[in-house]
Amino acid sequence: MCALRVRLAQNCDCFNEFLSEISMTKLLLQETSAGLYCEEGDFYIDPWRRVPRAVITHAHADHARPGSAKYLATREGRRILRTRLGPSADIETASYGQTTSLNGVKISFHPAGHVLGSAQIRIECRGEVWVVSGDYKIEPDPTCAAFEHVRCHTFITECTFGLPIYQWPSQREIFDDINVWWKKCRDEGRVAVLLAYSLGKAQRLIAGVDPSIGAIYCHPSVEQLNQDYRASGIALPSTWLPSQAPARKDWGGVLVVAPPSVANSEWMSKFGPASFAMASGWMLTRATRRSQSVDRGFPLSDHADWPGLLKAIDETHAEQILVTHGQTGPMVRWLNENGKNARAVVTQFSGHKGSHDTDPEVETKTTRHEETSNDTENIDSATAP
Amino acid sequence: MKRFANLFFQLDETSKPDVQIELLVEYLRDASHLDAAWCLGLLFGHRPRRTVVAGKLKQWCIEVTGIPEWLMEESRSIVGDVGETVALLLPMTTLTSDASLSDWIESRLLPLLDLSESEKKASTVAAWLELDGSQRVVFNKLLIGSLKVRISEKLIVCAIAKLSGLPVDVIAFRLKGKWQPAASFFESLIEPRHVDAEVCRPYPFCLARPFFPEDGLEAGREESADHKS
Repeated sequence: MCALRVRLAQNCDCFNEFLSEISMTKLLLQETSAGLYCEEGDFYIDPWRRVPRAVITHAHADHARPGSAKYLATREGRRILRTRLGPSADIETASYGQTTSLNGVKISFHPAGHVLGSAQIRIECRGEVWVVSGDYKIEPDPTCAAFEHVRCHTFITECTFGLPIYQWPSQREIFDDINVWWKKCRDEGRVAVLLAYSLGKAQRLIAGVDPSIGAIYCHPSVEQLNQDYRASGIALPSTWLPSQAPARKDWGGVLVVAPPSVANSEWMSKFGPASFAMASGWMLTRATRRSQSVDRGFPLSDHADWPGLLKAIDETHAEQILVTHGQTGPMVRWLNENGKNARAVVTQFSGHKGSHDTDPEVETKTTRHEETSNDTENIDSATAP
Repeated sequence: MKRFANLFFQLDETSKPDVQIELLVEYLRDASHLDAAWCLGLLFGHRPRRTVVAGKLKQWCIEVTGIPEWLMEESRSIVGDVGETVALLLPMTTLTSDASLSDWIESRLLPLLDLSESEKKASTVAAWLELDGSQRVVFNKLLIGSLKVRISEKLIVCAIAKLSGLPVDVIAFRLKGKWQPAASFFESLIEPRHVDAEVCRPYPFCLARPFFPEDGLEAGREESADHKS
């Protein structure tokens, strides 16, 4: 009798092991050479290779790459994604919270607060829920929907600023500093050049600065996205292209918003004496501010800071945390030491230093495309101040 | 302290000489003479003696924030400087100190030299609670003696000359030798009468020139010639 019990118990253990092996091999999302793949639903999330079906968190170049056969993305971000992926891309959209089913796997988008239309992707299959965060921030941003905490079993989180040194100052303070700098440039008769990534950061800056200080001019790659934002119902103050300005314009006191890649380019030369500033979370530390060789650095980020990341992770109540891009090592160790079950996942999302701001290939591509097609045609032909 | 912290960060961010001069002129013009003197002292590297070793500052920060040592090291490896790392790791604050640079150095920093370690810690932690983010960076760097301001001596001299309306060489002369950061020092530095510098201006001696005996020696004029070796 006793021996039988032991054997049963042993069998139970084997069975449990077998079950856990099944669940280990049948992960809802797997790391593949093309990106995070859901075998059950046969789709990839933010793939970095061409795939039959891509589900996209947001339109930044390291997450939304052209060439896939079909895309699924948020309705709120469809205009931007179209601009980024080109007119021939096959894009299907769904609103935040709306459930789409792909081969029996339920997919829904939830606001990530990163840029307009950015989403966390919730995947549900046989009662198991995974959430892929994409890039996100917790702070409010008038140019996109606020981050939503979604409960799940497994949370795949970005970790760009995953060190406790990254605690963002209040936005109000940063925008006050930007306005003071702009006014000072105006008083000195210089042009204030604010370098920021064309998608998201630029629009957040334009919406946040005080437009009564002077006129706002934008690089074509920024202006095109401004138009997309306005068409998507986001209010932005008036902005102009330098090509709309009268000849021999005195650029003193004007704010120019441009991507960092044009800082030393021919495009900049027409403006005359300028003060350069950069808006990026990396500007929080002296070492990176100095390495960018700009006159001012404003630590305004579209990513979550350390407290933001920890809050987002906590609120999911997830049993398993997968950490990707950025400071994954310290974050995984911190989570595991604080009662969470975490490990790192390798992806090609470039959360590394300045990637969003200095990817020259991406910037020149968009610039070339937009300068030829949009600079003269699509943008209002009103005369700039 | 607030204005000096702003000056420190703005000088640090720009490498344009004219902007750096302008920033320093602006600071010196609006600061009290004592603050201006301390500012120049720090700019020239006449830092107050180190009151705390960097290791202790890290340890106190770990105790205050509850951050493990390995995470402090990870952070420091990104930031590169202990004073700045500690300032970034401390909880954010909305407070800011309106006390002047000289107040902070003379009443808060220098007295620490004579205190025991526990008293130093208590005083440092109390200071952190009063200061804002950028002030904490400056204060921490002063504590561990690592404050270096990114501006060349030549530009500092130009800025003082611009402020006082005096020639650059007069200012350069007055900054030579030993001096203590004191209001009287700054006043003498920008003093408009500059006989002192004139008196000490080195005489522009003639260089050695060849002597031609056929020119002859003028009667009554004392000249002498040395053999050139």
